[in-house]
Amino acid sequence: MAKLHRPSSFSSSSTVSLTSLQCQVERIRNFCFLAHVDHGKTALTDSLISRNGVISQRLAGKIRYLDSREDEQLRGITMKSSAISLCHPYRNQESNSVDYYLMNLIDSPGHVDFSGEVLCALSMVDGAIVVVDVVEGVCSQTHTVLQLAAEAGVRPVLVLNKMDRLFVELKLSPLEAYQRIARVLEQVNVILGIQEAEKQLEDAEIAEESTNDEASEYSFAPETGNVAFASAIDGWAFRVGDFAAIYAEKFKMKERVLRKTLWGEYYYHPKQKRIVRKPDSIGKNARPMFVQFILENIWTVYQQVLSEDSASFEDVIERRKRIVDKLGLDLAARELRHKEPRMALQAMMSRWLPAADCLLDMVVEMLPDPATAQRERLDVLFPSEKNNHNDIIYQAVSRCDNSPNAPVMIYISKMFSVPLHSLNSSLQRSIEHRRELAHRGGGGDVTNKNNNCTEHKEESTIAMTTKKTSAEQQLEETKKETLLAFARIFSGTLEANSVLFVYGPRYDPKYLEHSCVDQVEISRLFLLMGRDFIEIPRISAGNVFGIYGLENVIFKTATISSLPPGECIPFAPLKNPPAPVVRVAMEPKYPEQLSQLKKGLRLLSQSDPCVETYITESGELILAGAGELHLERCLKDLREIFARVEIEVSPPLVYFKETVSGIPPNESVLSSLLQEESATVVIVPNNCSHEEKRNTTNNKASHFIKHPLVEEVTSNGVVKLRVGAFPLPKPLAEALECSSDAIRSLFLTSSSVAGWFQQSVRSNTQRVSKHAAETSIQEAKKRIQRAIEEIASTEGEQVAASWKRMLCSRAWSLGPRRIGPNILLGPPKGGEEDKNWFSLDRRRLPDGALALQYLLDIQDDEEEEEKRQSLDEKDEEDGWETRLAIELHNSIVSGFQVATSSGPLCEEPMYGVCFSIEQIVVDLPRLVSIQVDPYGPLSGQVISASKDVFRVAFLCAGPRLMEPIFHCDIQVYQDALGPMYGLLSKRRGKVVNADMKEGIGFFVVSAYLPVVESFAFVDILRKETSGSASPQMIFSHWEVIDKDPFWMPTTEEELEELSLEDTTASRNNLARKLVDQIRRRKGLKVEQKLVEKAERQRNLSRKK
Amino acid sequence: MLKQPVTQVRLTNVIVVRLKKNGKRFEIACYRNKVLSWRNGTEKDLDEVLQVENVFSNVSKGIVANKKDLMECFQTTDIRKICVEILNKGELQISDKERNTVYESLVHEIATIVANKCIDLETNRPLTVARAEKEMKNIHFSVAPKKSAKQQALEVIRKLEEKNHIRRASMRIKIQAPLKYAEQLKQRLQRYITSIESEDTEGNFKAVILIDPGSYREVDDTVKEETNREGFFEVLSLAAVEEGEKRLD
Repeated sequence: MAKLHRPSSFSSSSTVSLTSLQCQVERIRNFCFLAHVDHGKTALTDSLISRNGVISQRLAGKIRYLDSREDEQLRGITMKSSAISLCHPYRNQESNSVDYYLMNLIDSPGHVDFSGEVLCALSMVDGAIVVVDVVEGVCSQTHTVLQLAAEAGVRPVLVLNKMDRLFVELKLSPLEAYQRIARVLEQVNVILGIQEAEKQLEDAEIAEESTNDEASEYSFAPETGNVAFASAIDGWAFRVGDFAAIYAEKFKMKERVLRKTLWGEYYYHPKQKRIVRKPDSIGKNARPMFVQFILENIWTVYQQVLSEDSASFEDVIERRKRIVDKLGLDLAARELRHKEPRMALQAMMSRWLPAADCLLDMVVEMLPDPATAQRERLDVLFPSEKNNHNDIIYQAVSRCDNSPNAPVMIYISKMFSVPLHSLNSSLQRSIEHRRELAHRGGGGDVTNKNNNCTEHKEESTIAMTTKKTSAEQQLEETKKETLLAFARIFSGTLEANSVLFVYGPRYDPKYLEHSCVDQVEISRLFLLMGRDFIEIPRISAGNVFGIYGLENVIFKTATISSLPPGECIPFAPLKNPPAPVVRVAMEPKYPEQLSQLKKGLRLLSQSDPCVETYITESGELILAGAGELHLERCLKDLREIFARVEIEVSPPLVYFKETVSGIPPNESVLSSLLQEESATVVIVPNNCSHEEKRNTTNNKASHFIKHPLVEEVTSNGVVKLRVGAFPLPKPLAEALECSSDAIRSLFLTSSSVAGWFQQSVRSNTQRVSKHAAETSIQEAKKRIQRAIEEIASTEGEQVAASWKRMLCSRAWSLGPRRIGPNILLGPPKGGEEDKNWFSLDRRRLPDGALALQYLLDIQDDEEEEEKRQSLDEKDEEDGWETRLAIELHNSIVSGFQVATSSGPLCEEPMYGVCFSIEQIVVDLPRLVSIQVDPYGPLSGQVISASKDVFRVAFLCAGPRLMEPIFHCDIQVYQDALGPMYGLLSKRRGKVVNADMKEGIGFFVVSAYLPVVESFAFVDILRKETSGSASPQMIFSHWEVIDKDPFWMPTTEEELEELSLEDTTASRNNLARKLVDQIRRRKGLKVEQKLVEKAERQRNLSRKK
Repeated sequence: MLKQPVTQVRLTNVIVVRLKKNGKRFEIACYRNKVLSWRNGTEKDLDEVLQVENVFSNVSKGIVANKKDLMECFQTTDIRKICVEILNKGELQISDKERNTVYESLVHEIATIVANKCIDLETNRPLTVARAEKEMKNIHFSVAPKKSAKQQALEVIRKLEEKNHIRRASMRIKIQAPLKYAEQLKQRLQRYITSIESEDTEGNFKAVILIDPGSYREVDDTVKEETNREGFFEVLSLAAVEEGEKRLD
């Protein structure tokens, strides 16, 4: 990279004027560059920067000064928004005097992945320069940024860039070039028009009678001066007005007229010396004035200088000299004699039509000053209270009041990292320049006395801090990074070291005692100068600047104000920040660096508006970003700046669930499965059919089970369990899943459940939380009630009723973790034929089951009464039988918890399974006879036996795999619909809905996409659709993969369906494929042959 | 017997499975990397495993086993049945691929168990499997192919606990007992308890406590003993970890 040319005189002279200009609101312009990627934003900023001498003019357009990151330079795209303050002397036409303007310019990235940065830039500025490549025309991001600018209430002006390409690359004639430019301009205006129409539509919807007020239709028209034509690489730009001035003199015409006619279908009649609208009268050679007087001249210069005819070098120089003379330029001989014609051309063009002057003049003339802009943007800034404009804050903000008694209102749009030493060195530099000032005894040309005395004061304070910092500097590593807040002050004047309130984005003025408020001392303020920072003592309304020292206070965005909570209304946070869609999991390479990585992740998400970092339940660190490129940048930052550890990145784990279908698998599969699971389990054929006939209203679950029951005996042969499994109805499982919080508070508090029945809350301190818990429990109850109603409506009253009865009288526990969507049913009471020894007295159930029954409660007054009584008589002695029963109950529940937390398919949690204990037989004589049990305590045995029996019962009930599904909204332009649908179906996506958005010609497609398939989806989608589709994904629901993981092709037809090459089930059965994948990840046994064909192994024996 | 080279069948990629029965040696010739697949049931086609459907007394010399011996030792002359028996019971040299997969899946399995049973003290969440594997490498744990995964996982955990940021996750249990035993019980349980999450002495003594999973049996015994079998406890969760996702901010 080229070495920067940074004249030392620059910073001194310009900061002086900058600091003084900061107080003059009407002399400030805050604007940003917006465009599609690669349309030349950063190159244009370069030419503006070079105007102030930060970089040399020759390098402007090439070094991309604001792309300070290494990877930005390497890839040639901007990845973050960065700001620089410039000073622009504006020649006022009327008074013919030179006015200095402070230009706070923000460069923003154009790539889709970084649209969060664009939003952040937009929230800082009052106006925007939209750059469009004349060759490429309007691109997808051009749409987006114009939309965003409109939403943010930022006024745009247009720059048509890369004019040189029309000539040099495309070799268009001036007339063709004109037509092309006109077409691009029309495209851009169409977008604006549609936006306007949409807005009116919306307004009309809100207020019935469309008030059809003079639509402030804003469009880009060269004659009004809001369109500039530029070539950033060659350093020139012009507006029609610039030429109007020249030709007004030449043709003795009014400049005003020329301004209007130099663009558009206007023709100059050479004989009549008149401007006409009809080209016929002029003849064949007619061409619009824009072509004749502007483009042709520029084209001639290009042609003359770049032509490669075999003229001798001296001739070439001569030719160049003629042009220079004609244009009246002052060009150094060295530049004139440059060997490279392009360089000479650049020198000429940038001298003739300097880009910086043109663009900055346009900004001064066309873009509003902070006061005007803030008045216009009030509704955007405070959308919550549209009609309440009398408040002190509105007054101050709308006037951009920088008087000392105005309230200070600052918005922070992001935190960005800077090397710490750049802050310190800037401090030193600014001191140096202040010393210099002191020597000169008066300061720069614009400083007044007032400024002077304050500066003296500062000097002493700064001198003190330098002593400190120089000492610190030695200690600190040079590469240490820190975070600066990217801030805009909307009203008031902020002094360094003042104490203010910081309001986080979650602060809500309605709740005064909110935790999102902090009182913080603002210690250091900085002027943002691209890569450099200049410390300043104060800043007044309408400026963009940096604040140091908020690293631990602010997370991403904030409002800072001098007003205490209650009086202050914070700014609305960024509008629709793009949700992060690409996620990765990460690990430090060395596990001991985990905490460092976590700290780094925190800093990263602080410094980037659309990054999310979190830690999952399973302990994975997840980083989510807007796109693949964005993630890449984040990871680089993490490695090099924030965490500085080596990181390993992987796609995040996808969690599955296991459920049952109720369709039993075929016999052969079943028997082989059983061998694997547990040898001692016996399958008992289910003889429920006649039982069912006999008594359907019996609260037995057996008529739900259409497949064999499973029986298991504990190792010591004492306890025998018989169990069946069947699916829970979907609504019920969902209701249980949703109410997990309520259920948890019901179970996991040790407070007696009796309290719930008696509705008495004793301790005062717990009342509030208990009340909250109670309402949530009531909600859960209602949800379950609703679920049962739903079952009744879909499957009939009788089914619902038997479910109700069953749950009410037999529910023992939920699982896993006692809150999950699986239910364990205890043995039915008073079983007839097996003479149940064991049937727990309901009132003696431990709390868990009691609470559950309360939750699933179906009002039954008698029993309720009985329950209460029983609770009152709690002190009664328990018989040993009951105690044994309770012990067994607890062990079985524990076994159930283990079984449901990892199912037999691939050790993932179960979902929506109901286990019903049909019978528990205890061999009492045997139990008594055992003195010392060689198999350990009975409870342990029961746990493992019940776990096994549940797992086998699960397998017998037709296991299925469930996968998580994303709901995916894709915005896509019509021409990219095809590839998008293709990709979706390739990835097992299901399109739910496709809507065409009115007017703009893009579609909003919503689809369901399995999470497993979503990882590279965004990236591939963008590639396939050349970036015109942008997806948003959020988790939607769990879906059963309706395929038996144990399915094998048996019939000939099924075999035919498989591909000929590979007839193994594992590759043709999706559920199986996923199960195997998970099992392999977990190190579980996978049915996979090491070698498919024994004969086809490589022959390794060497001797023959 | 005269050996005639013409009838010689040259075998490549042979793995010999041997079985000694009644002092006699029987061998079968199999393909490499196939025997273990057969044993764990993934390969069901016997012809894919056997090179030659015959029982030898010496494969490399090509000596076929005597029918009489077979009858004597296996009580049958059905070659397929005998082959299956030898395949299932005989000894063999495990080949490279087989050993690798066995080793890899064992490492995975151990790591998965470790990850499920441990928590990182800093986050109070389980370790990820990748992390567990790395930690295993860090403490130079060598996997023994013959020991069970669970046993080795417990060994790993013990070693990891010596480092200060990993602990075996506690078990969360809820104890219920008549009030009169409460004090005594608490005292006796003191040494097993890592922390008490909540306690309630209304009506019955109830407490949710965290214990080390290793002391489950002791706790069980103590509760029974102390309360004269009137108290009992429920296991609320096997590994108490923080639940839900947490934003890093």
